[in-house]
Amino acid sequence: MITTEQIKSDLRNMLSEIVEDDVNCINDDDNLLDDLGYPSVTVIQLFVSCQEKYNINMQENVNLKNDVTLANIAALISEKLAAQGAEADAQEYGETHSDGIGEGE
Amino acid sequence: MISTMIRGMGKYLLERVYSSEEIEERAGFKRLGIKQGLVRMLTGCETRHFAADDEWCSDLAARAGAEAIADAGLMPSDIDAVIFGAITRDFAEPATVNRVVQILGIPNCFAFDIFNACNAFIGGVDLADSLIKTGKAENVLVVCGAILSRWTKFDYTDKDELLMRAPVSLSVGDGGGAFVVSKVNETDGDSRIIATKFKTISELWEHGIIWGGGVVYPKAADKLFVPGTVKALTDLHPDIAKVLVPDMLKLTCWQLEDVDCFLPTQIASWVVRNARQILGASEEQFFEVIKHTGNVGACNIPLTSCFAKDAGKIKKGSRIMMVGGAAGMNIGLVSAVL
Repeated sequence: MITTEQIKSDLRNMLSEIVEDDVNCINDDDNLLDDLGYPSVTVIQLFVSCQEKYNINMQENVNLKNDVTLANIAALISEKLAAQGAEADAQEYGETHSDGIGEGE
Repeated sequence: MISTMIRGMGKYLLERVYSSEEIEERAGFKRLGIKQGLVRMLTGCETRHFAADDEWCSDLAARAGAEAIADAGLMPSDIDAVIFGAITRDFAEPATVNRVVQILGIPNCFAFDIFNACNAFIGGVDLADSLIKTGKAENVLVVCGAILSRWTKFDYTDKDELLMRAPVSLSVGDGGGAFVVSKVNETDGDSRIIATKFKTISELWEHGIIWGGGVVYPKAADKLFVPGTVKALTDLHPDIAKVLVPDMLKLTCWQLEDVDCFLPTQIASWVVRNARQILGASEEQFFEVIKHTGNVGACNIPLTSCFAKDAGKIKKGSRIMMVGGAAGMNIGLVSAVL
């Protein structure tokens, strides 16, 4: 399972590619829009990159009025990946045990 | 005291459908090295309809108008006034509505265009309400024909400009919408336009300007495009949800839970979602169409209303509130019982 720290590192790499600049000085809790002055399209580009990298749906979580920080985006991704993992586990469990359902009736 | 109601609704959507990815490619995303998916991610628009080259705003408006007249159970001869309210128009002069009236074969009416960016249509509904209440008409057809695809810039050569404009300006689509607003009769039950409220915040007029098409740049066709620079306008949506909608509820004598369906303008899914959450309304109380139609400018509200009706979300007796926001900046709210 990917850690939140690893996700934040990925986010810095993706953001660096988007803004074509070094972003290592950005703090986890800096608001990308209000504190750092990035245009909203930069955040949207970052969301598109995250969606592709982690194969998750980020569209429903776009809210430019929220506190858009690397920490919050990483937490969101972590949550989505955990939900995805739980869903996959449930599916696998269902497939493994489905043969027994109804036996003996 | 004369009361008014929305007696009929009509819409018209075009055959040609484009995905957001197709539009992004056409605008140069790949060519300029931009990852696709920005339009969908920011606005929620997945597809939009575009008019054919030989279709005019008046054609779209007339198609929707015919459907609205039929939905109202009226004949063209019953219509006393026609108002065309849109962003795009067929030509500078005469008013586009003249061609709409001719196509529909409305024999005895007065007709005119009104413009107020995305609020042109609900401004027309407000005006229709006033014309009826002052005894100047009994049945007013309000129509909109939006062909924003022709005012969309696709020939980008600068990556930064494309990034600045694209997510919003490439989400636009075309379509027609219409309402018949009528004087309430004894048999119409509780159907009423209950209240209308419009507010202009003129200090924001310099945001989201389409510079072409006026006397400032009379010959500059390259300035006639939807700019996509609407951040200052969308930034106001929390205030609309916190202040103006609650004021409108008071004016209408409704509680929030009394509203069966909010019909908001369709600029971006996240804006509508955030406004709904601030307001404390349920998901079921809102209806959106931007996913399939894109942002159709002044046509957003009639199209959203028609699709909500088709989906069974609203019907006769439903309590609705239309919420419009437009460059200018203008905010418009209309509450009604259908």
